[in-house]
Amino acid sequence: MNDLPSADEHEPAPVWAIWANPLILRFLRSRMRPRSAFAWILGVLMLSGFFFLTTYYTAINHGLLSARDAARAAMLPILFIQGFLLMLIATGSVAGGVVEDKVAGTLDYQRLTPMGPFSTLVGFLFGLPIREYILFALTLPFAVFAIWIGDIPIGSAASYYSVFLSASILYHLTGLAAGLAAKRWRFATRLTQGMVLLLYLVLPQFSHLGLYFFQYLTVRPVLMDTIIPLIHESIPGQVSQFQPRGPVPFFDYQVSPLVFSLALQGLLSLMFLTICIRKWKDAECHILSKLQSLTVFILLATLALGTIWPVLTGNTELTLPILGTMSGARIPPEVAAALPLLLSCFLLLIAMMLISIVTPTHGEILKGWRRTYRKNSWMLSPLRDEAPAGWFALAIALVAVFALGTEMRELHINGILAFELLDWTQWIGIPLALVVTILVFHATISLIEPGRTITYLMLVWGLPCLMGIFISAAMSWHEAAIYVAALSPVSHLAYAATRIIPFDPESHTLAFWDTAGRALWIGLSLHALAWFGISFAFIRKHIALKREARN
Amino acid sequence: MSASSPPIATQIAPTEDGLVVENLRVDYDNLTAVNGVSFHVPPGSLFGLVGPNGAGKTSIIRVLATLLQPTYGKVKAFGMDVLDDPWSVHPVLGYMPDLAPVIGNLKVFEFLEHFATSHGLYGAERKDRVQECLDHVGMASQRSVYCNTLSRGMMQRVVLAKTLLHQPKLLLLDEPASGMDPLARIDLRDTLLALARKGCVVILSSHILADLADMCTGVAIMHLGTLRYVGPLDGFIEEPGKPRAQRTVEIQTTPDTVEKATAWLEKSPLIASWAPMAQGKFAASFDGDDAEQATILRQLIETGGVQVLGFRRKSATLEDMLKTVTRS
Repeated sequence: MNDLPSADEHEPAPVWAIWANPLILRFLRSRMRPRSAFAWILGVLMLSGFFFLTTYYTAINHGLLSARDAARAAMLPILFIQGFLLMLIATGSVAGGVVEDKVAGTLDYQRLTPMGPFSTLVGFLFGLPIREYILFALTLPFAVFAIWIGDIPIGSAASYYSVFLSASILYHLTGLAAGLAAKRWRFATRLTQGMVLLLYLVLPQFSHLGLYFFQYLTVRPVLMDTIIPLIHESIPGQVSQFQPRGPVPFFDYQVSPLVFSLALQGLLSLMFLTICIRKWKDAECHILSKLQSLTVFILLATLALGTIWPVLTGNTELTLPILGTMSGARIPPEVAAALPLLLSCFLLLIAMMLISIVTPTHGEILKGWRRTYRKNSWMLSPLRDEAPAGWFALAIALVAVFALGTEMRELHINGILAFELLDWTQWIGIPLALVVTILVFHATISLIEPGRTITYLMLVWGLPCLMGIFISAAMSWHEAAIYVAALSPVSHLAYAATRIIPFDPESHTLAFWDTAGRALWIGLSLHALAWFGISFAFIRKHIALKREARN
Repeated sequence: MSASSPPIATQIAPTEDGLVVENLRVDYDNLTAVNGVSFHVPPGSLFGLVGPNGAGKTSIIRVLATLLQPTYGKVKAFGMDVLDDPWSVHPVLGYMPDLAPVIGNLKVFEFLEHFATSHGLYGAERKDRVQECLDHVGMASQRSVYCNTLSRGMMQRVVLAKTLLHQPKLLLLDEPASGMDPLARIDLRDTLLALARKGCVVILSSHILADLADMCTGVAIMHLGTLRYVGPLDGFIEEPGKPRAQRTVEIQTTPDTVEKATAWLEKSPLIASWAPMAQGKFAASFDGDDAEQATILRQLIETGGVQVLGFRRKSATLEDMLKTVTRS
């Protein structure tokens, strides 16, 4: 061993030395080859220059706008090009690049270097989209010119760009996490596309229903608050259309949109970073631990409640596309009943996602027990990935009920929904449906394993609803349709929501209201029974797995 | 040594240094890929993992490379706990997987420089080391070629160079020679022997048994996830009480008794298989030990009427060992 050269006397560059990060150097080489880089640089400079200069000089030379206003107007295409580069192209580069390395097997080489996980992730995060960052930098002179000539306050521009970069990093982290988590190339690509669409296009639409915090995952609110009003202020007749939104109401506080956006994006970035580090350290582990998932759920429930709270207390207004603007006691009961339904649906969606993440497969449980018995222990730690997630489902159900209960209490206190007019069987419907649905989902996923979730959802959630619609539409058996649809947990929440609307006894919809109530209880009873049956079957399976592990 | 199946021959003496694997088990859902595998590889050893497809060789190499968490077991390399603290092992670990992928959009020297930097080599030291490794694997003339244009064998040479960049003490090579030409395989053998002489632990799996037999100081034969034999190559046939191994003997006859020898080999129930070789020589395989070998010689002369000029047992090849343990 004396002449064996020492392999561990070299230290890789520290995390903060980004310029010396091997991954950034690698991608700088591979993604900035002169031939392709030149084409990109030329394209971006040509497009930026064309749109900027055309807008600017057309407005000035035709006497439409002053130099200041023309510069402001010319900033808009630059913002669009910047967004296209860093948010769209770069996100694709990150997700595609990491999956390519993973599928090829070269990611394993990187895992085995002495570079720490954080240093490696920083390398991938800023290295994979290096070309897009350089192209973005090339558009900055146009933006700086517009800010200078257009007299755009530095504070506004700084606010916008800080949220823009934070949102871009969040999107890139989404791609990186999806790339590291997915096992197959095609699935990883679809997962990334799905996640980006869900998080940054679909979920922000919930803002129309009161859960406006999703909007702040995008750059839009800050853009609308900082840059867009200045641009429109320059165009005659447009001033009144773009009033700044002002602070974000959150519980009883007013938070600056910049702080709210950065905090929200920071939280989500932290979650994705946690996923990346976990998957980097151990490619086989769950993307989040049970405790991390519970923390994420509590944070999201708090965010949802915090943003809907000011609507309930009358501190802010809820604007619905059809019904207009309303708040506090001015909210009609039909809309008020939709608020707990909306929160329940949101919490249920998140709960199902997290349960699917933390529920172990039977193989994992078996492995967990084998490890436990090997250590001469008889207790599989409930926090381990391999442990069944029963306590987690229960904890999540309790948090969900607490959030929902708080919202319903506030609806009652503020006189929006008159719970004193309802008996307990009416108002308990929503929380009960939420708990039963979460528990049945968990028990089923535990028994059939997370890989079959989609099949389960289609059969148990989708099919009864579709059958109900068919029976109602084609046969006109409306009452039967309500009962058939009640087999699906989707309808439980909807039926339960109708129960908290105080109906006029003379109303022609009273029959539906009564039927929905009966169908709800039948459906809930069936699902509660199913929960007992499925749980029993899973316990038997678990015992069998333990026995197998001991042998 | 396997806990569930005792070794057929003597095991390599345990040592605190080198690589120590104890009672390793790997499960993929309901499939047990490796079960109860234990072995010790002292420094300076070239250790071969042999077995048919699905024997668990790659799973063991991936566990040793910290890329796969076993269900349980202990792995220590040069005193460091590979499973509990994988990061401590990475600086001394070299890993070359089966098929040896490369980063296609990098040039050969860029690929090597990237991993040299990842291992903390910078500046002139990095350049020198990259050039040294390229020279060593005979790829210096291809240094500016894009990796995705290389042939399979060339890719393997480049990945071998990458594996050697940081002068690892523990080398894990999964089918390193499968795409290499004969000359490259000779170079690979010489490189690995030189590393072993320097005190490295080299673990390699290969289906090219002749290569392993030429260079390994010890082997582990695996079948269906369990270790069937661990020990030195020449220890396999010496161990008493082992299952009957299949042996091959080389028979030299006179030119005029070649036909008699052919007829006897054809008929004899003792012979499992045989093949004529050049100049009146035959290779004959049979199940058994020294007693059966003596019987064959006697019957060949007495009942076959063959004039035997030479009769020698070919040393037990790795192939024989593999056939024997997998059949048993």
